[in-house]
Amino acid sequence: MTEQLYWIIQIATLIIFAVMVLGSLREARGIGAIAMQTWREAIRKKTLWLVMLFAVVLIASTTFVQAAGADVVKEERRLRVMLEISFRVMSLFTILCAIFLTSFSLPSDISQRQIFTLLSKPISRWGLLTGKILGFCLLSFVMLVMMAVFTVLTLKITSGRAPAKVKERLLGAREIVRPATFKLMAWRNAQVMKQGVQITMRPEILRGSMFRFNTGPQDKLPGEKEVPVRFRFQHFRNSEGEMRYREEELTNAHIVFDLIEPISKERKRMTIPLNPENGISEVFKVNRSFFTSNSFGIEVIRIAPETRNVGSTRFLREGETGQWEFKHLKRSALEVDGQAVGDKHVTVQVQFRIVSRGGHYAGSKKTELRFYYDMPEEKRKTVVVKVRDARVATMNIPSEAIDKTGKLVLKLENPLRTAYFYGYDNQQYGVALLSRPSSFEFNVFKAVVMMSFQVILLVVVTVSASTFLSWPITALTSLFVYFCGSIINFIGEMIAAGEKSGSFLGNQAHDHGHAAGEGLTLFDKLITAVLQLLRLIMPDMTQFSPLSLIGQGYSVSLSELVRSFGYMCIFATIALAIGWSIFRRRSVD
Amino acid sequence: MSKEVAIETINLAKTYVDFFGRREVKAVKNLSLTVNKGEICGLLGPNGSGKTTTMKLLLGLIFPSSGEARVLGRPAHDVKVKHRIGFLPEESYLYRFLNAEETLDFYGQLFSISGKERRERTDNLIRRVGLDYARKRQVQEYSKGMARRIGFAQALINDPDVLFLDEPTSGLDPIGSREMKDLILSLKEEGKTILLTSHLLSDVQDVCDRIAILHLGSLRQMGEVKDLLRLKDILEIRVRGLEDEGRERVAQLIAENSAELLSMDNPSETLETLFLKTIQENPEEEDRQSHRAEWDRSSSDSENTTQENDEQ
Repeated sequence: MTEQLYWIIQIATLIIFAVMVLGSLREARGIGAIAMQTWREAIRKKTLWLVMLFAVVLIASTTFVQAAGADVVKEERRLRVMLEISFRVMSLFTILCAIFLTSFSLPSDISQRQIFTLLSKPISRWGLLTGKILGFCLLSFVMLVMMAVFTVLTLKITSGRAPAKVKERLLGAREIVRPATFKLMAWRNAQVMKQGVQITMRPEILRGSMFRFNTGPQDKLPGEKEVPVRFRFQHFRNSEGEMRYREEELTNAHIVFDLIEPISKERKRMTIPLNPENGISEVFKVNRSFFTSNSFGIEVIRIAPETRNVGSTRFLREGETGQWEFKHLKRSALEVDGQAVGDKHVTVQVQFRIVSRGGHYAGSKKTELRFYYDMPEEKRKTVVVKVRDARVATMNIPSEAIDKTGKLVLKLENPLRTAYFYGYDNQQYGVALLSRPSSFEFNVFKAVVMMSFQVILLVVVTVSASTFLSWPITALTSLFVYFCGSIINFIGEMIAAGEKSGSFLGNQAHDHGHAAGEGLTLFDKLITAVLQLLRLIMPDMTQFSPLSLIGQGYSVSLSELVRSFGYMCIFATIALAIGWSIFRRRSVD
Repeated sequence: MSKEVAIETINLAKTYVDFFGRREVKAVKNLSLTVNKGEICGLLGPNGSGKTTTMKLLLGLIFPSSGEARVLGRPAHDVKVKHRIGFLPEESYLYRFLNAEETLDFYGQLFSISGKERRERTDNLIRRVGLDYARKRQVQEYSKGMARRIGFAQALINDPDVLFLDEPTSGLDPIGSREMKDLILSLKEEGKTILLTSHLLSDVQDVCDRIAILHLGSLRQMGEVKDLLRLKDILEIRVRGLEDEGRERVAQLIAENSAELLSMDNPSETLETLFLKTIQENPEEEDRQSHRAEWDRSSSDSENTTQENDEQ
């Protein structure tokens, strides 16, 4: 429902945006003149150059960043910190500059009466607004590009000594193929090969099961040094009631994991036995320092008796569920211990998640994955899987494909030709398929374009606000909009907390297993609705941050750019509509 | 002879309201005014009489509370009208960091005048208003008089049919003022319609065909300057070479006709005429242009200093 609404709004605003742009073409020359005038006014101010100088000094000073650790790790950390600081500096300085210069522009034209002369010329008020917007957008874009060039140069020079592997990882600009987060138990056995990812499935995995891993501090008592944390493990049957761990398998099973202190990265190893009856329910005392406001890091080392590395994840919010799902890997025929059992096919079902960012809808995308496996007599067979978000994709594989040791090997086909499947990464999204490395400079340019969408939005908001507000109030308004992203996160946390505790009013902490939203009163529902609405109408500036991608060495994909452009259009159109409707009949004196 | 109407207001009224819609000031009340094509019309009135408000209404900078303002047959806020008008604001509200050339070029761009044409016009206008020596200096360094002249130049960039001049002579020295008046008269000869406001009565008297006197937002008087100023029951005789004896006889004659003798005196020059005569008798007359430039420079320096002090 929300998704459809989002699309309707998106398309509607894009149409309005296009109409506005086309409409402005009538007085394109006048608008161009205003834009150039705005640009000239800004670059003749000393403020701008001072800010630029300061930003460049800050970016240059990142070369002094030092990191601890072994050589490779150290270099990578160092470069990553440099990259992150540089991008934050670029974005922050451009935005502050844009907000302050823009908020001053129209109010000063009005108070110093230049607008009298302007409006007695054949330029409409709409033209005046769009000209100003265009001028400041141009200015910010040039600022961003200049700083980006400087950043790239600094990085290139300092990364000269870095190992090739690090350079490829960080400056490689590989694209994550989305959706490509395998929520497949089998990924534990993923092997990185030169040609792609090989997924190996073993019989004990084929038996199929999944479990859920709920974490979260249950009660945080103020003043206590240690926080009790309760971990619950559940394992589920599938809809047919089959495929779970056999009880004897779980009798001696345990899970080993590290808690990671967020700042010092100090680790604390924990071991919890798995209880086959009702999952596990263990309460630990964990030092408070392991928690930031609502998050803490955890890395699972192994699940015994299977002792393979299972990768890591990070639980971002209280009550959020991290899952490793081994989704319905239904075995209808399998040889176990050399004895044939039953039918002719193995059904492999895989669930894919489309990763969304910032809590907002990221759009759905359809893609095809081609797997192949080897049959006896060296015949190769291909199976095509259509991947959609949250859908379970099913592959039927003849049981002959399973070799004598009971192993089924599925490989992704033609990784190089399709340009995606080049290596894997389990840092952020679990297993993600990555494209070939591409140009870092181009990637930085795309990041600049993405950041400039944010600046454009803020310029539009500022110009619109300055049509009826004085410049200090305008600047404050725009800064508020800039920080909306953080407010949205905060609201999200409030909603989650409210739903979890069952009420915004009392502190009756319900049992964790209690279904969310069930016990809410009308008042609570109302508050939730208001908060949800606020979250919807506020622009989320984190939507425009390329840092989560470029900071990890990922490519800023075209779809991300289109998405952020669309997102910018929604709020820019609304802001401009408000500003214009006020300014068109405003008396200027 | 039916005259074409260039500027027209019909029952124009503007009431300023505060944020809550409460009425605050009635700046213009029920003003009906017509200016024909080719005329110079002066709006006269003390400060706060609604002259500037009327002008802003005619330029579409503010919107009337009731009534209508029309320029060249179109509503005043219509962008199409703006192609054919020029406006010199009360003070020259220009971008301070642009120089004279850039200023005129920028305003020319707003009229979509082609680049070559713009350069020509810019050149001509800068020379016409006598700023040739300061064309590359930023407007913020200009003295008030110079700013006034560049302001006038920007109003003429599109060769307008109708000109709105708000206090065209304010801040100008007598020479500048005279030049400005000459410029206005030469524009009239080019067939332009001019509406100007002023509270310097002599200026208005010198250039205007018709005047309208505003007070407290309403129109008090309107008509041809000559008609309005003529004192119909008084006769003025000016004679050269009449001796004292002759004077007595004239006075006697007046008394015989049972008319009252109001004055019989040597007429005096206006201060303006005297000032201009004195300056023009100056032997360094030949390089007046450079002298002027000198004068402008020194005065702009002193004005800048005072301005800075004001800002502090």
